[in-house]
Amino acid sequence: MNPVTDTSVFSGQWPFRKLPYRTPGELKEHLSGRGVREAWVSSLDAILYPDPMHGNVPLAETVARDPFFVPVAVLDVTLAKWRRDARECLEQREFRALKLTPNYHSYPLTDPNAAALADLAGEAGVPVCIQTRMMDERAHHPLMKVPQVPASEIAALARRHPRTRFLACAADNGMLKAFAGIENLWSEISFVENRNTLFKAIGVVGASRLVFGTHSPLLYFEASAAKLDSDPEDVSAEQLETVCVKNATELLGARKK
Amino acid sequence: MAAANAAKPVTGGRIDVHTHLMAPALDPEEWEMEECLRLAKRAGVSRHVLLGNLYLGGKDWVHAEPDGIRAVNTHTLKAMARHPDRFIGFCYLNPANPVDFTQDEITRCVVDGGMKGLKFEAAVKATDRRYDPICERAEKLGITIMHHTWYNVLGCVWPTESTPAEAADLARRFPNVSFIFAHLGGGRERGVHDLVDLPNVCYDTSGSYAETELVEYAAKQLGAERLIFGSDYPGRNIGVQAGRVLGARLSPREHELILGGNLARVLKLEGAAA
Repeated sequence: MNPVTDTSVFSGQWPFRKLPYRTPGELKEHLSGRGVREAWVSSLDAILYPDPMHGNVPLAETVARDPFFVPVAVLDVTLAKWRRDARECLEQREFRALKLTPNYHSYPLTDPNAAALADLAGEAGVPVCIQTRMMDERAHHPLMKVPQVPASEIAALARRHPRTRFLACAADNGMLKAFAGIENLWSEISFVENRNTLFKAIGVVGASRLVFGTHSPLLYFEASAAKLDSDPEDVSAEQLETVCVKNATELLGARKK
Repeated sequence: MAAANAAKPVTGGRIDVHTHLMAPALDPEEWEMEECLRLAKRAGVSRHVLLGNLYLGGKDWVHAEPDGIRAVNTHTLKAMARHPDRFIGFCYLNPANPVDFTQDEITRCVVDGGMKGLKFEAAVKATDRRYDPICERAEKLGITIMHHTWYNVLGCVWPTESTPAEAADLARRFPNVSFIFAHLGGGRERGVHDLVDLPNVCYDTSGSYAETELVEYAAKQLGAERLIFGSDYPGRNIGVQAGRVLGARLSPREHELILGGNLARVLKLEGAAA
């Protein structure tokens, strides 16, 4: 099988689970040994630290000159300084995409600042990744139950900002139905699962709107990779290539200078 | 890519202990059986334990009445007859049904029909004493009982759903009966510790998404010989759930045990290692 782009991996600590491969170096060794040619990486620390830059900056400093990684900055648009963070990440830190975790930062995607960030990303030519969940909601810490981001909010945001490219990370089967037909919205498949995963997902949103992702190191790489082991009767080699590499390249785009 | 399932089949074959055929028809649908077997083959899985087309149990299928239970099990028997070398049946039961009916259903499905075990979902809590005559029969027949279990921080899906701790109460009272608790991915670390001192209980690896470290953790606490691969097809994907086992940092022999060897031993399947 040809090399793949993994559009959703993480580096750092996650307080709710013991994780393997926590550093970028360990992650790269793990993923590249399994056929990943490029990994879009975000800081786990940036999701829960009060200032996400305390996770973003060390990540950027570690992976900046490694072409294996596409650094994705986690931003919290409820902070007064989010525009400054966005500028720093894109202009000084070489981040190539922005990631929102609205459920962990407690705001709906109808928040005007989310819209402003979508505009900013569109103008900069970088995609906005929306992390819909980090774990199965049934298994959260009992004192920190974080609901998934509503698919309807993601769909509405994407529709309101047609010039911005969006990626729904950790989308699930139900979300795909809400995303069907939205041209500027892609879905990452680490949480999509059913009897014949890729075949059915393509049937809902089309191969052109799906990207491969593993949610490593929180989920087993081998589990996500098995979704690519489709019967050629169900998923053509061309569709597979589209999901594994081409869509990620299109989604990432060429940054505007 | 070093594909997840590249090192296909293991000695004796991979067996999925947690499969449902759920197409809404009284008889097993040919397309569904063929699709299941075709997709399983890609993951190197050659046999399945069928736990029943639960929706045939009726509108309130979790608390199915005898007619519904009979429909579920007849469906399984027909699938077994259609693919005897691929499908192993477990008899779906509701302990709240009349004792005579349940005993007759065990005779029909296990003694006469060749099923290898019993399956409980969430009809009553596992601490309920109405399980006793069923477990006594299972002990006499030397068959295995699978019980659904889960810890759900959002609350039980059904008020009568059992946690691993509640199912452990049942297994502790019947130490000579072989149990498989369903859904390591639902019970997680807490569930592992509920059954750690119960050598008559194995854990199936199904449930939820394939979170890292959990299979390794369970193997360390219980021993790999007490873990049994399950997918929960068709809600889940056989290859993805096998990937949960293959992705675990265990030895090839431990992978092999979890993916098939342990179940062959527990169910005393032909060719199983002693």
